[in-house]
Amino acid sequence: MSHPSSIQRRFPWHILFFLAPGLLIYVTFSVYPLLDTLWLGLFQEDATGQRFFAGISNYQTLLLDAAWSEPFWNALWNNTKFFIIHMLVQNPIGLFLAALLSSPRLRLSNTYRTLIFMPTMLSVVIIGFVWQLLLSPIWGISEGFLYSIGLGQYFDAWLGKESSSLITLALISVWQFVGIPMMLIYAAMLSIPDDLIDASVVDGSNAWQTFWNIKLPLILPTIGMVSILTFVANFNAFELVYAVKGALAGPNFSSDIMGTLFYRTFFGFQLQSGSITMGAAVATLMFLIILVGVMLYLFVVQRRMKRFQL
Amino acid sequence: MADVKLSNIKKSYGDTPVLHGIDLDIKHGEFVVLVGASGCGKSTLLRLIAGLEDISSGELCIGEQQVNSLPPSQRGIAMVFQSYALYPHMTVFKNMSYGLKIAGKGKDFIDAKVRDAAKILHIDHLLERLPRELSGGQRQRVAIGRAIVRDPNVFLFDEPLSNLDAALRVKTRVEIGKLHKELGATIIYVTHDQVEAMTLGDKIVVMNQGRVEQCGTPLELYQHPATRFVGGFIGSPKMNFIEGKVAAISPEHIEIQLSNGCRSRACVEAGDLKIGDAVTLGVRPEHIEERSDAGTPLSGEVSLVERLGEASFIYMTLSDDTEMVVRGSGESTVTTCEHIEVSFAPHNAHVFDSNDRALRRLKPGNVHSTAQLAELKAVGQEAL
Repeated sequence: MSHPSSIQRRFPWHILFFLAPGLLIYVTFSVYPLLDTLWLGLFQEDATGQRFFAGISNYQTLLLDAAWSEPFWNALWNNTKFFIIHMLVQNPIGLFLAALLSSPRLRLSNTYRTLIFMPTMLSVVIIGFVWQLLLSPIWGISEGFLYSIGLGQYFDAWLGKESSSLITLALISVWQFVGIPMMLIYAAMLSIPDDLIDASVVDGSNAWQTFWNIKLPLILPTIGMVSILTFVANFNAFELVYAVKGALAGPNFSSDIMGTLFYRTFFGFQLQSGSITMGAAVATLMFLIILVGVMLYLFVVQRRMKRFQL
Repeated sequence: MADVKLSNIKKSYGDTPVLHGIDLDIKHGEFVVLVGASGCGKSTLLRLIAGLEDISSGELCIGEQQVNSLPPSQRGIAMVFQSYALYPHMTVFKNMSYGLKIAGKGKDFIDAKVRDAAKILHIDHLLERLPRELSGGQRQRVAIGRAIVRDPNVFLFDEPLSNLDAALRVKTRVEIGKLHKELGATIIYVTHDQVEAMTLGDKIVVMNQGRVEQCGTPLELYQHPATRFVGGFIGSPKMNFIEGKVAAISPEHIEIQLSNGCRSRACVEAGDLKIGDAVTLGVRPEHIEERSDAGTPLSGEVSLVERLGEASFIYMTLSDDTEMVVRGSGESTVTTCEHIEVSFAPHNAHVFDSNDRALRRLKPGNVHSTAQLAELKAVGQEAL
C-alpha cells in the first residue's frame, strides 16, 4: 500500500541530479583548491622536500620575521595605494564619463562608449607593453609629445623611478579599466526615469543639483558594487606589474603588490627559491584580506544602502 | 493674476512638426482640460508650457510676462506627472520640500508650507514614509502636494489619474475638482479620457494631430461639436455616423438621403451646401429611441446588447452595414439577432460636410442644460 506521506519522504534524487554538474565543477575547481591552499599553508618542507605539519609557523615567519615581513607589508601597502588610486581616479572618471554619455545632447555617444571601452577588451600584457614603449625615455613618444605641447620639462622616466612607478602603473590600469565603471554606472543612469529628472527641473534644480540630489543617490548601489569589484580586482592584480616591471616589481620593489609577492614566493625568482607552502600562506593571506574587505562591504556598507524601486 | 496666453505656438522635432500653431487664452482660475487621442500633441503642449521642451516658434505668456526662454522654475508653474515622479530615495516630507529647499527658503517656512499642504491632502501622517511604502492614491496626493507647496500660479497635470484603478480615479477626480475651487489657481490638465475632461473642465480644448480642433465649455462641445472628430470624441458611447447626400434644403432643416435608403431631416443651417453634396449625419446613442415614431426611423439587426442596469447599449447593423449604437432603456427586452426599428428626432441630428465641419444647428440639442449635464454625467459614470 503506498501512502501519500511515504511518497513525500522519499529522498529527492532529482534535486541532487540537477545540482550535481554545477556542484561538481564548483567543488573541483573552486572549493577544493581553496581548502587545499589553506591546508598547505600549515606545512613546511625540509631540505629533502619532505613535507611536515608546522602549524602557523609560516604565518609567524611571514608577519614577524623581518626578511619576510618587510616585503609583505611593502606589498600590502603598495597594493592599498594601488586600490586608493583606482578609487580616486578610475571610479570618479567612470562616473563622470557615464554622466556625459547619458546626456541626451551628446552626439556620437555610442562611438565614445565603444572607444572608451576598447582598452578593457585588450590583453593586459599588450597594454603593459604598449605603455612601456610609450613612456620609455629612450624611444618612447611621450617625451616628444610633451615637448610639442610645451610641457617637455615635466617629462620623467616615470616607470623607472621608485617614487612614481607604482602610481604610473596604477594610472595605466585606470586607463585600461575605466570602461567598466563607466558602463555599469551608465546603465544605472539610463534606468532612472526621465520623469524624475523633469520633476527635478520643474522643482528648480540646475543640472548639477539634479545630478547631486537625484541621480547620485539613485546610482549609489551601483557605485558600491563598482567599488567592491575594484577592490577584489586590485588585490588580485598581478599581470600588469609583471608585464611592465617583471617579477621583481622594481625599482627596488617599489611597485611590488600582493600578486607579484605571491609569484616570487611560490615559484621563486632569480636568487629566491620557490616554496609551495610559503606561497600557500601568502595566497591564504590574500584570500583573507579580500574576504574581510568584501564582508565589510556586505555587512556594513550594503546594509545601509537602500535599493529604490524606480 | 496669471492668465496664460499661447500665440501660434509651434513645435517640431527635426523636420517633423508635432504642433501646428496653437492659440489659446486661459483666464486666471480657469480649469482647462487638453483632451485628445494619444499622439495628438497634448502632452507636448503641456511640456512646452512647463518649459521642459523648447518652443520652436510662437509666444507663450504667463501673467504679463513672456516666458519662452525662462526655465521652468521661474515660470510660476508646478507640474504633476503621470508616473507621479516622486523621488524614490526621499521621504514624503523631503519630496514635498525639495523645490522650496532648492529655492533657498528657510527651514520654518518650508516646514509650515509642507504641513499645510499635507493637511489639505490628508497625508500629514505619511510625511516620514518613503514613496514605495505608499499606495497609488497616496503617491498621487504627494505628487499634488509637491505642486501645492510651491504656490504656483498655474498647475499642470499630465494624465494624473491614469495610473489609478477605476474606483480611486473617480474619487480623486472629484477631489481635484474640489481642490481647484479651494486653491483658485489656474489648472491645465491633460487627459485622453473625455469623461475626466467633461466633469473637470471649465473649458475643454480638443486636440487632434497637433491642432486645436475645438475649444469651449463641456456643454458647447457636447451640443455643438465643430467637427466630426469632436462629435465622435465627446460622449460615450461614441456618436453614430451615417453617410448620406443632401436631398432637399429648407430654412428650418435639410433633408438627407441616407446610405441605407432612409430619408432624414436634420435641423441645421444649410450654409453653402447644395443638393447632392455628400454629408455625414451624426446622432448620439442617447438621442436614438427604441420606437419608430420619434422622427427618422432606422431599422437593422441587433449584433450585441450590453446591459448596464439603468441602460442597455444596443449595437445594431443597418441594411448597408453601418454600425450603430443605441442607448436603450434598462428594461429593454431586445435580444441579439432580433430585427428592430429605432428613430431619432431631427433636432437631435448633427450634420457634417465633406470637410468634416459641422453645420450650425438651429436648435440646441436639448431642452434644459442642467438636465442634460446630469444625463451626461450619468453616461460618463457608466463608461468607467
